[in-house]
Amino acid sequence: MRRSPRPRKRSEYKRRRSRSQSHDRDRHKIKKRSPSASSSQQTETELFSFVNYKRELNKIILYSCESNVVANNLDDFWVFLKKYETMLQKSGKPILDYQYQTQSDSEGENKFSKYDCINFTTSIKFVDVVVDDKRRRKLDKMMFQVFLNIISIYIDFKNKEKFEKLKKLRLAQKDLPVAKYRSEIVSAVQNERVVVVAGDTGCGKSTQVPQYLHDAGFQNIACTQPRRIACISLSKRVAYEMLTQFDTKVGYQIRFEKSRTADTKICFITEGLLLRQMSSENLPNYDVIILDEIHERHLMGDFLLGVLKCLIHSRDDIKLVLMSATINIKLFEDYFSAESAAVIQVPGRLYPIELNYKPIFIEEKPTRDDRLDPQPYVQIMQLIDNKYPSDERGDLLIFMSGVQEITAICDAAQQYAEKSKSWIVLPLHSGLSLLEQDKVFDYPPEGVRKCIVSTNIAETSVTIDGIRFVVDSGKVKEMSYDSTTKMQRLKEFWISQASADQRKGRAGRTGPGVCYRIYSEQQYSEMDPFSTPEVSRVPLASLLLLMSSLGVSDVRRFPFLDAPPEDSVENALLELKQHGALTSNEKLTSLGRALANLPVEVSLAKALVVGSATLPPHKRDSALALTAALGIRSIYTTRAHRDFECENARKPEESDHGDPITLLSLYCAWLTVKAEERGGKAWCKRRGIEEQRLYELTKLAAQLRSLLQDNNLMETMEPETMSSAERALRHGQMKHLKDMRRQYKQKASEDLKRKKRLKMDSWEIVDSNKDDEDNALDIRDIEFRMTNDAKRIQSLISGASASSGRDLIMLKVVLCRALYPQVAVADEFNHFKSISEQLYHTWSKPFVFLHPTSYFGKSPRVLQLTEADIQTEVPVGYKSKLPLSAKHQILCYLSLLETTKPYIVNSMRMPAAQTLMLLAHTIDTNMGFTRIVCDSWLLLEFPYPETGLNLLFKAAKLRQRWEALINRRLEDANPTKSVESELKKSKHMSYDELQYELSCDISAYMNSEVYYTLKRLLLGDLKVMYVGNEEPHCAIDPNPFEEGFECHPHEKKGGIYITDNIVFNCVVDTEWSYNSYEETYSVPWTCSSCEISLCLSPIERLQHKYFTCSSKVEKKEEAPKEARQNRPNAKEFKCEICNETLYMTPVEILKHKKGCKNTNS
Amino acid sequence: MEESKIKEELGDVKKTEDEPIQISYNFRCALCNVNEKVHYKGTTPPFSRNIVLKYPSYIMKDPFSPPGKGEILVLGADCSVCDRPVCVSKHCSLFFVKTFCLDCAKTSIHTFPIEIKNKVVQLREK
Repeated sequence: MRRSPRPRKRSEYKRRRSRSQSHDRDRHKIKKRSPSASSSQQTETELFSFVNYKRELNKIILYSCESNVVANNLDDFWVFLKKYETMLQKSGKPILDYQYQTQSDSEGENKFSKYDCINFTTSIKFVDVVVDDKRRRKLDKMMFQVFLNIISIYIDFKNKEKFEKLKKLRLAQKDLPVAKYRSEIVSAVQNERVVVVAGDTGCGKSTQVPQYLHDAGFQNIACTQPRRIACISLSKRVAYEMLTQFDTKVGYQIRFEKSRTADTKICFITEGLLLRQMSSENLPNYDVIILDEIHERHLMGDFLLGVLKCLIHSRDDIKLVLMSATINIKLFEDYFSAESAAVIQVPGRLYPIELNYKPIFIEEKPTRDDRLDPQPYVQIMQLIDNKYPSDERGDLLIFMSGVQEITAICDAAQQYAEKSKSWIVLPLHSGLSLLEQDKVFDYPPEGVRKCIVSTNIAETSVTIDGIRFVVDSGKVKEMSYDSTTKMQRLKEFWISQASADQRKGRAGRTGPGVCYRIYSEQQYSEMDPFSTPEVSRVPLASLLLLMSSLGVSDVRRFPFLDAPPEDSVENALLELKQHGALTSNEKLTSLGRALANLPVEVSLAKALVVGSATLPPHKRDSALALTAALGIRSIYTTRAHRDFECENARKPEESDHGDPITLLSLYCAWLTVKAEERGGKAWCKRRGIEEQRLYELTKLAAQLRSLLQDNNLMETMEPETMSSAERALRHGQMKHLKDMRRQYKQKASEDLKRKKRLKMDSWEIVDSNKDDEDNALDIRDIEFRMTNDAKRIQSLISGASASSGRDLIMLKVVLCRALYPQVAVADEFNHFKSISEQLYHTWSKPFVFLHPTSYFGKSPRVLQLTEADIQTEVPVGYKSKLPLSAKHQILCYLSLLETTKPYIVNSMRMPAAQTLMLLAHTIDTNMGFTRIVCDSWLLLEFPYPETGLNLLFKAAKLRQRWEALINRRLEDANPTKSVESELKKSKHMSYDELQYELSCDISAYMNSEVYYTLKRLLLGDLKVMYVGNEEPHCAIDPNPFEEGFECHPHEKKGGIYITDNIVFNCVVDTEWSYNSYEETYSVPWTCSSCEISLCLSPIERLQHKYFTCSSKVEKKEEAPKEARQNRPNAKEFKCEICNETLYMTPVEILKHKKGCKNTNS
Repeated sequence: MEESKIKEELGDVKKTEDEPIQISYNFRCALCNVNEKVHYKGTTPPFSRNIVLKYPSYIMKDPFSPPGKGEILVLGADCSVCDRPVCVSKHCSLFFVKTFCLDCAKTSIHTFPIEIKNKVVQLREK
C-alpha cells in the first residue's frame, strides 16, 4: 500500500542536497501521488501520531547528538508535538504531510508551504530502529523527515518565544525611570570624581547603573549592598539582564561565599567585606565603587563613605558613585562638597497614594492602657472590605513595632479573618524561619487579600509586590546602646518622617494605593525628619578597631557623615584598651591587629585569639564553635522557649555551666545527628532550633578557622590521608550529592515559575505542611555534606565537645578572659526571692535580671550557695554577716539587653575568687593579703591566713605565663626575623608542652579550695577602702610576684604596684585583718623546704621561698645570677649558724640571723 | 556512516578553533532598534551542530539556557532585498525562504503567495 519508498526517498535525498532540480519532475510526482495519498492514507493519518513512536524517536534524538533544543527539552517538545498534531487534525490536515518534501524547493511565487516560513532545519540523522510491535508501521526515513520538519517548527516556536523574552526584558529596562538618565549618569561618572544618584525604590538604579557603567567601558565595578541577600539577588538579576547568567561576568561576594572570578566585571559585595578588602593590602583593582542604599545610614555604610572620601584623594583612578533614596540628599551633597559631587535625581515610579490619618483618641482607648489595642487595625480591615470590591486585588501591609505587637494584631486579625473569610493573615519579622518569611510572597486565592503584619523589615529590606493598603502604627522598636554600661536597649520609638513616608510609599509600588496612619497629622509634624543613624546607637568598639587597623591614626578626627557621640567613642576606646587591642596611647597592638581581622565582635575575636594560643590543637575547634555560636543570631526559634516539648527535648544537651556551653553541646549533638545522616531538620524542629543558623555556625567557624590560619595564629592541619576505599566511598557520595543538588536546583527553578498559592487555612495547619517538606530535598543539608565529609564531622565533634574536665575549664576560662570585665555578682538577698526576681550586679550596671530564657534564668539555684557550702566555723576573731564559702560563683556574660527590664544575656558561671584574681584589671590588697579588692568593685576577704596570698600569688604567676604564651603566639604570627629572635626560639619550649602545663595548672588553680566572703562595694565603701598616698611605702625588693618589676606607688589609693595589676598595701585593714596580720608576723613560720623557722610577714615568706630559701638555691643555680642584677643592694651572705650561703639584702640578712637564732635557741 | 563521523569530528575541531576567537557582531534591527551583541553570522552556527539555517542570520548562544547545550537564539538577518539588518519579530521581518524586512515585503507584496499576503495585511490592520 505504500508507494515504493526507496526510489522516492533517493530522489528526495538528492534534491535536498542539490537544490536546483527540475521542477517538472517534482510536480509530476506530486500529482501522481496526491490522490492515492488522500484516499488510502487518510484513514491511517487519522490514527497516526508520532507519539506512538516516542521511544524510537527519543532514541534517535538522543543518539544523534549530545545536545540541542529538542534534546534538552524533550518533555516540552512532546507536549508541543501533541498540540501540533491535534491542531492539524482539527483543521483536517494530515500529520504525515509528505507534500512539503517535494514542494520545498520550488520557489514558485504562488505555492505556499508553511515550512518555507521557517528558517530552521535540523540535521539529525535517521537511524533504523527495531520495532517489536509488528502491527505498527515501521518508522521510516520519510516519516522521520516529516518529524524533522515538526522539530524545525518547534525550534522556530522556541526561538520566537526566547526572542520575545529578550525583547520584553529590553523593553522593561528601557521603561525604568533611570533609563532616561543613562547618558547623564555615564558622562557624570566619566567626568566627575563623585556622583550621587538619588532615586526612590523602583526607579531601577541598583540594577541599571552598574550595567550602564560596564557598557561605558568600566572594567571592574564594585557595588556595595548593606544586606547579603541583596548582593545575591542583584547579581543574579543583573547577570540575567546582561545575558550572562551562566558565566561569571557579574558576581557577588558576601561573608560566607563568593561567585567572583577573574572574569568578573561587576561584583556585588557587602559593605563590611569591601571595608575588609581595604584593610588588607590587596584591594581589588576597582575602577568604580558604587555605594548603594547609603540613605539607610548603617554603621558600615557611614564608615565606608568616610574611608572612600579619603581614598579618592590618594587614588585618582577610582570613581565613586553614591546611590540613595531621595532622603536627605543635601547631607551627602554637603559631605562631598569639597569633591564637588554631581547630583542626579531620578524620580521614582510611584503611583498616587491616598493618605488617611486615623489617630486613636484617648477616650477610645481601653482602660488597661499599657496593652496594645488591635481594634483600630481590625477596623481598617473591615473598612477595606466594605469600601473596595473583593475582585479588586491588593494586599494589606501593617507596620508594627515588634514581635509582641505583631502577635497581638495577628491574633485579632485572624479572628476577623475567620469570620469574613476574605483575609489571610501573615506575620513577618526576622525571628521567623526563612520558610515562614517566604510565605508573604505567595499568592492568596481569588477574592482573598493578604494581611501582612510586619516590623520595619518590610520598610526597606523586604519588598512585597501587590501591596495596595498600608497601615502605619508610627512606632518602631530600635536598639540603642549605652556605652557606659555597655547595655543595648530595645525600646519603642516614634518613627521619623522619612520612615513614615517610606512606609507610605510601599502602598504605591504596583498601582495607586491607600495609606492609613494610626496617628495624627500633628504627630507626624512632630516627628524627627530623619531616623537616627546607626553610628549613634550601636557599640563602636569593632568599628574603631577596624579603623585603627586601616591606619586611621586619630579616630576622633575621622570625617564621619555624622559624628558619633563623644562618650561612645571614648568608652569604646577604653574597652579596646582593656582588651589590650590598643596601647594606652591608642596605638594598635599586635593583638589588636589580630582581632581586627576577625569578623566578629571584639570580645569574641579575643576569645579566638586567646583560645588558639592556649588550647591544644585538637580542642581549638571548641573555641571556634563557641565563638561562632555566640557570633551568629540566636539559634532558637520563637517557639523554643514557649513550647514545653521543645524545652524538654533540649534538656539532655543543657549544661549547668551556662548558655554558651549549652549552645556548644547542642551544636555537637546536631553534628552527631548529621554524622549519622539522620537529616537534622526534624531534630532541630523538635528542639525549637532554626537549622539554618547551625549551618551558618558551621560556615562561620570554618571561615574563622581559615582567617586564623591566614594570620598564622593557628596551624594548618594536614588533611588526614584517606585510604583508597574511603576515597572511593567519598567519591560515590559526592556524586550522589551533586546529583541531589542538581535535582534540587531544577525543582527550585520550577517552583519559582509557579509561585505558591496560599491556602485559606494556612495559619492553622502550618505543621502538616512542614512534614511534607521534611521529605523534600534539603539543599543546605546537601551542601553541608558536600563540604564536610564524615571524617571532618567526626573531628568537628571531637574538637567541639568540651563536656568535662580540663578541656571544659580551659574553654570557660578562655571565654571568660575574653569577655572580662563582663561579669556579674548575685545580689546578697537573692536567697529570699523568687526565680524571676533574682538580681545581679555588674561593674557598670547594678540591678540587672537574668534573661528568662537563659539557663540560669530558669534555674538560678545553681548559682546559689547551699547550706553545706557555707563554712560555719569561722576563724577566731573574724566577724562577718556574709557567708564564708569556697563555692562563691560569679556570672560571666556576653551582653546586657534591656527590653522590659535590663537582662543579662548568654551567661556562664565561674568560681568567683579564682576568676577575679586571674582576670581582674586591678587588684588591691592589704598588708596581709586577707582583704583583696578587685577592680574597685568586689571585696574578697580571706579569713584563713595565707590562703588569700597563695591564691593571688598563683594567679599572678599563671597570668604572666599565660600572657607570655599569647604574646609569643602573636610574635610568631608576625615574625621579625633577627639572630636574637632565632636564638631565643630554639630555647623555647614547644607550644604543646607549654599549653599542656598551663592548662594543668590553670585547671588545678580554678579548682583550688579557698574560703572567702564576697562583697560588692558601693561608692560609700570605696571612700574608706584605701589608705591613701600620705604614707610612704617601702618597695618590695626582691619582688616575688614579678621578678625585676619596679615597684611604684599608686597615686591615689596608696600602696605600691607589685605587678601591672596588683597594688599591695593600699587596702585599709579592719580589726580582724590587722590582728591576723600581727599574729602571722609574731608566730614563727617554718619554710617547708629548708626548714628554717622565721618570723616573717606573708610577703616576706614569699620572698624567702622564692629568693633566699636554700633548697631553691641548690635547685636553681641560674636563678641567683639573674636576680643579682635586679637587686643592687643584695650580697652574698654565709650564715654562720645554719651554714647556708644565701643571697640577701641587708634587711633580709638581719631577719635571717634573727630567725636562725630563734630556731637554735 | 563513516563519512559522516569524520565530518562530525571535523566539525568538532572547527568548533574548538572557533571558540577562543569569539568574534562578536553588533546587531541592531533597522526597524525596531533591538540592539544586541551576537556571536555568529551565517547558516551553520559552530556552537550548535544539528541546527542549520536556510538563510544566513545573526545568531547568539542562547542566553537563557546553560552553555554547551547547543541552544541558539536567532535574532535576525539582513533583508535579502535592501540588505538592512532586521530582527525576527513579525513586526520587523518576514521569512519566506529568505528574510525580507517588512518595508520591502510591503512594497513587493504582490509577489508573495496569498497566505503571506494575508499575513502582511493582518499585521497592517493591527
